[in-house]
Amino acid sequence: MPHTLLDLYSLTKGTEYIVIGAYLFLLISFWRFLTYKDKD
Amino acid sequence: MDTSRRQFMKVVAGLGLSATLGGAGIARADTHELSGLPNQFGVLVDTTVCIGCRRCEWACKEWNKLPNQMDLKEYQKDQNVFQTFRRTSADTYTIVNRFENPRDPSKPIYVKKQCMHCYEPACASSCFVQAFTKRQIGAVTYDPAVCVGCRYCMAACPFEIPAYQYYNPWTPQVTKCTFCFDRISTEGGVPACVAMCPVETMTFGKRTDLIDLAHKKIRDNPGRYVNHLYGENEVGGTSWMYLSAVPFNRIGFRTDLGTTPIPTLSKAFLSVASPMYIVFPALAIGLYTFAKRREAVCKEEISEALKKKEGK
Amino acid sequence: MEAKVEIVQPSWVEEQLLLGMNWRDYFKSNLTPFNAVMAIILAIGIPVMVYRIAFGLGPSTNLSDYNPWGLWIGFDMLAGISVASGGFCIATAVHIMGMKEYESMVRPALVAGTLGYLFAVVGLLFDLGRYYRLYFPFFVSPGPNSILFLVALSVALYLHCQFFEWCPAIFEWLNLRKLRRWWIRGTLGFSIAGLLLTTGHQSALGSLFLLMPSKVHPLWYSDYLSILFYVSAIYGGITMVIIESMISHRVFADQLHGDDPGRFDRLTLGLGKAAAVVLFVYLGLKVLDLAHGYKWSYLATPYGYWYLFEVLGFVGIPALVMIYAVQNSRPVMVRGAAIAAAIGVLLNRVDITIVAFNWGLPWEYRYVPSWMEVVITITIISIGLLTFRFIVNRMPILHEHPDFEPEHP
Repeated sequence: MPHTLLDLYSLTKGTEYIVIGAYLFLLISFWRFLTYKDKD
Repeated sequence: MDTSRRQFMKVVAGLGLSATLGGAGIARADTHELSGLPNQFGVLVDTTVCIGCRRCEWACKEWNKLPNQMDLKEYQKDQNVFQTFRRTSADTYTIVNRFENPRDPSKPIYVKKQCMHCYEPACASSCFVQAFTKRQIGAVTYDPAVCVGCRYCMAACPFEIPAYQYYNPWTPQVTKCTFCFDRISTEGGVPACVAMCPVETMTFGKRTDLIDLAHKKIRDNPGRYVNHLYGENEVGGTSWMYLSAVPFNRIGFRTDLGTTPIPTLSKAFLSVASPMYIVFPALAIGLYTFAKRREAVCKEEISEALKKKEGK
Repeated sequence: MEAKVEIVQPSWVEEQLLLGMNWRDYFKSNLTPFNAVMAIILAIGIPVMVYRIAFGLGPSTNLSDYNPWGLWIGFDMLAGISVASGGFCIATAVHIMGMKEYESMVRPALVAGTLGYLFAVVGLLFDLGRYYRLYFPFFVSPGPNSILFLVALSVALYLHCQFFEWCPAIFEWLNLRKLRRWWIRGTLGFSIAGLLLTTGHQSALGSLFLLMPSKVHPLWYSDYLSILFYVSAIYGGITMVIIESMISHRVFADQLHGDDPGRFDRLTLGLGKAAAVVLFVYLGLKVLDLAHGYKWSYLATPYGYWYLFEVLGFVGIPALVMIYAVQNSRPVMVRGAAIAAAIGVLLNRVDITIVAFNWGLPWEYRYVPSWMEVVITITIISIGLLTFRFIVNRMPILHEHPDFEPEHP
């Protein structure tokens, strides 16, 4: 449990950046999957 | 319908509403349940009592084994050190400054300066390797094992406390008061400077008790103190708090720091930066598709125009 | 019997590294005044760099406990990165917004941008107390609560991303066909990543100062610091591309022989138009910031005059001159305004970090860079220039490689 704003930000920002990483990975593979279909 | 019944009806309606929304209690919308540091220690410094003997400086250097230590007598004899306004430096965690006393010129005011151990420290919120941690017992401790030496903490501290070992070429460290973290962690432990003070300027105890003590002192001695406990709310509250007979800006304190904790200043940007990483790729892909399509349409129109020209 | 013609097949090193000459000819070809100046700078700079490393920050800088950040952070890091965002602007314009006519400017801007970032980080290394721990925020103990963590992460990622964007030029130089063909498919991805990361760190660099309302002068401190830094980095980048193309057009004229002169001026005018718009946006933001922070009274103070000099002199006037020049298609005037605007960005960063920082202190505590800091900054910049020339002379940056068809994402 975060005690101070500082702990809160460390926790929230840390998990945010992990979520962003996962999201970007999924977005790229989703986009490649979409455009790959157009090619053949 | 007298007010109490109207009050009662409002509460029932409120509870009913939150029950239907499934809120367990009346959940506060934005601020999370931060448990805070209820039993953190603090120190109340009464600047009207301090006599400027600078024994606390000696005790601090002695306990922390800081360089350029002098004999105790030297500290008391060396009065001209008060000529200039000093600040904490690489080998000194705490210093005592002298200020003229507008109310009684014969009795100057001595003010001890060291890390305030903020409740929401700017140094900790600025450090990108989390070298500073606000401990349960109130001390803000520095970990040289991870410090990269970027010195952002020195720039961010509103009280100008952290100093740097500029003259240590290979392993420079940030230096600041540690609230004698090792001493106060043991039961009944007291910081070295507080133990050394001959005139009880500093009172060490739970921060909440000290706040009550301070306000009691102000009430019990009307006219002796300015009715303001410096550190109670400044930059979100600090562990070290000061009482003064004269306005604080005359004894080296900044009175324009406001009460918002420093970390909240970076909240605005931090809460926009992350969504940007989610939204902008989609915008960029949209822009790219738009540009690609416009190019294709343009090619089509050119080939049609050419075909029509040849067709004629 | 005809003389046996002995065909001297230049070795790979001579062919690739020494521009087809052998060592003696290559050395003779380098005896130019420009190289002489560079040699002097390096002769002075390298020992000063060694002195800084050996004796630490104390003896080699005027940094103090009141002024932890000096020229290396204010100029090399902040100003350097703001002005090195030319690669981002052109890559976004060409690869994402499809402005194909600027295709020829993509690679030089990217190379200059990458070198700008690389040597900004080198400047940072000289400023860090424990430079050998630069990787700590990523691998050892991350502190995501700090904006500097965002800056470090996005600058590091963007440095690599920008390098990858112009890697095909290196593969063309080394004749790695298959790798180049596979690599080009990622250009769009790198451009979008570049857009993301640049938006991330340019605004984060400004937001570093959000934590210090009591230290930075109210005229320069503002809640809009993030967007102000981002917009000024964009026109800083565009104007730097105008300046770089101007210089490389003159210095590397032989590589641009195939180019018709009108095109270069047209490109400069196009960039000038973009820069004029962004300058105008930035000016609007500055005035809005004055209103938002209710700072009108500060304008009447000496700091106010310096602020007006910076904003009107280096943003207002260049914007008007740029608009006039673009209207009457005067490329020379566009370049002049670009130089002024770029200097304006450098001045703004130095202002915030040094001039407006801890402005309440008495003068004797204020910071003035020591000569060693200035020498090391100049040395870093000249090493950057030499590297840029090394790359442009060897790799197909300013011209297409003959036996490779141009990449189109």
